[in-house]
Amino acid sequence: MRTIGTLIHHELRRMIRAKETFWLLIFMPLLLIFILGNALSGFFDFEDRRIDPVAVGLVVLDEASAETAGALGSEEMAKWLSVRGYPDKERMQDALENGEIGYGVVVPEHFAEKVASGSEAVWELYPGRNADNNRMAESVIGALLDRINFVQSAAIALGSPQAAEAAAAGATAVAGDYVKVMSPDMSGRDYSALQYYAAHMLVMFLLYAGMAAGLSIVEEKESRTMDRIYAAPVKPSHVLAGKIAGHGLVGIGQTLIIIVFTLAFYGVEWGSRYVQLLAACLFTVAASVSLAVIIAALAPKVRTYQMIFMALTMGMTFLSGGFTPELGSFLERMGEFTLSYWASQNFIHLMLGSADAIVREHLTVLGCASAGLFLIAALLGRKAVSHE
Amino acid sequence: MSLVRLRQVVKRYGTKVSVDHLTLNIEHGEIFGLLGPNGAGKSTTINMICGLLNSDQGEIEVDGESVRRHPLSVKSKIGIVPQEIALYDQLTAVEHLRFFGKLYGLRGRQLQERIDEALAFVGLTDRRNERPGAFSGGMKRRLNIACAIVHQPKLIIMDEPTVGIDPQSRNHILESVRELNRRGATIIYTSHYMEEVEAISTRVGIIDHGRLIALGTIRELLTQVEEQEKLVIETEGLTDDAVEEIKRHASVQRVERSEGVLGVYLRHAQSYLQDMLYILAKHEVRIASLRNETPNLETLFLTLTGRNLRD
Repeated sequence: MRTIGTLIHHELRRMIRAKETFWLLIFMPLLLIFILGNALSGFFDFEDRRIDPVAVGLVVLDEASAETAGALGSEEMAKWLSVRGYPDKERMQDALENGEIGYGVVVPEHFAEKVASGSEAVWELYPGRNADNNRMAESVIGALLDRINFVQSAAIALGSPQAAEAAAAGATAVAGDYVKVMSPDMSGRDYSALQYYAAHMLVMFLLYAGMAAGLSIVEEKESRTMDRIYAAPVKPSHVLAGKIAGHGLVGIGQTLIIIVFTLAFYGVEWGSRYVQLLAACLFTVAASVSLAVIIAALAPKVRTYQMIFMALTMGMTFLSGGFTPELGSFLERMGEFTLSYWASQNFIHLMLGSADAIVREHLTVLGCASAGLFLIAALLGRKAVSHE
Repeated sequence: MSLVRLRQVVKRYGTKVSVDHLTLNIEHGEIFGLLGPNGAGKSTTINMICGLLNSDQGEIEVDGESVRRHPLSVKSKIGIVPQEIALYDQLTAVEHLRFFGKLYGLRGRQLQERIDEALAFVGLTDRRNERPGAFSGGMKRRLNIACAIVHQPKLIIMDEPTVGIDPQSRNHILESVRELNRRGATIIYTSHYMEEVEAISTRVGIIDHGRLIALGTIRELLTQVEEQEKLVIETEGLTDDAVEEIKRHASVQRVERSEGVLGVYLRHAQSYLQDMLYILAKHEVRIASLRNETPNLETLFLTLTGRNLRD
């Protein structure tokens, strides 16, 4: 234990003495959180985002469906749709072509009758030129059609139009908003750009802190100081433990400084669940030092290690949305396979006060990833610190 | 009993045999010079002795303990001065010694005393709180040595400790080696500078292609080549005919020619000097200077391998 203590102390002293440690691990994350948090705050300003109603042209060819179709023009729908009536399909299509309206709906003849009898009944939908408007209109109209389908299903199942009407009344009673905007944590709260980048930058620079353990191993091998250590009565497991613990402690210290500083000076709320916050930090640090040991085992040269190290850290941060939150569905899906994603989501959910189940789920995934990486690192550790 | 015993030791890197069935004993209190050209297997041999490399075959013992079976115990008895300057830019001289001293189990007052002694020994007491970045090459080499002796080991292994330093620092290091030996340490000193090995070693082993090709005291080794002296003659107007006639002389073993400088290897140079001068005069070759070089380990190595040590 004394030898490991000596090696930990040695590692800490070397890191503290290196000028780049402060700049890279403490100053840079705080600076980036400040810059990105302020420069990209527009992405997160939900209050300022206004959605204009889509102009929808409506043609009702079935008088019995006039009331149902009229629901599109109700006050409830006015937030999303601005309905204009047209006497026939052709005029509505002309208006759609001219850009007077953004979307078109035709209620065909005998529609109500078909619904009541349970036979096939559809509205004709005419998308316009703007994809966003089309999505908006389809979402709202889709919700209304769902209710109609419900009535139709009830008619088929219950066998009588009266029962279907009764079911329809029930369906209307339970129907809520047609379109609902929710924040990503499902808690109903939004986060600020500073919070978002505080979480992501903390994770990115924790990866740096952990991965510096691997860099230290590879540098000592290249400068032959590792030989010198092994010339003393020291086991490889001592060296590995010293490196991991030394850099792990630096990572924990770095986390504390970033959290306290961003809380005090940037007003970043990290939530009040300190145990979970500590667990998220420890899992992230453990995962990053484990990853460092794995890379050190596979890349024995400093330059190769640095290249892999940079690519991995930047790549994971990018895919997890650490640089910009809007990546597109494919990249976002890829991001879910990164350590950075689960670590940063943990911090974000803790900041937002998300439900315990959500926090637990994210912590479990992060913990499992961390344990898996730690296991691999333990298997490859001897190779990583080997000096032959 | 010998302090270091190697028995039929083999080390391979892939298909290349770096150390080939090496058998060697090094006695207590010796300064043992291990001589050989670059790539001969010297560093591999000493790395196996101090447990940094495992041998593929054979047995190595230090102070009666097997390196393979008791590596930590063996390592605590050895101090190694590596060929490369292996120091940390972030640590001061005294912090280096504290770190390595602690790795060897030293603590408290004993550690502090050993640090002071080691710094005084290498002449860095006044620079104890400075980092290696502020040191000259020679001072770095001296700190490199101090790190290896802070725990006062029985066996000190020095792997080419004078590479790339000025003559003054070299002399300081060589004098340090003698002093460490006087204080009771056994030294293994590897170098491809035969002058250094000749100057300090009590016994010498010459290694080439991983094999020990000569072993003994300097005197014993030089008796093998005592008859080989070298006349170095700087000439003007040297002709091929003159060189050929010198080569045909019965006492001449080998002739080297570089521009106008002639190197003539021959037995008993003093006796045949007249003959050489006569031949050159006959071919109207003028002599600018002349000196007689006595045989040394370089000559021995050349005789044994047909190559120069620094090839």
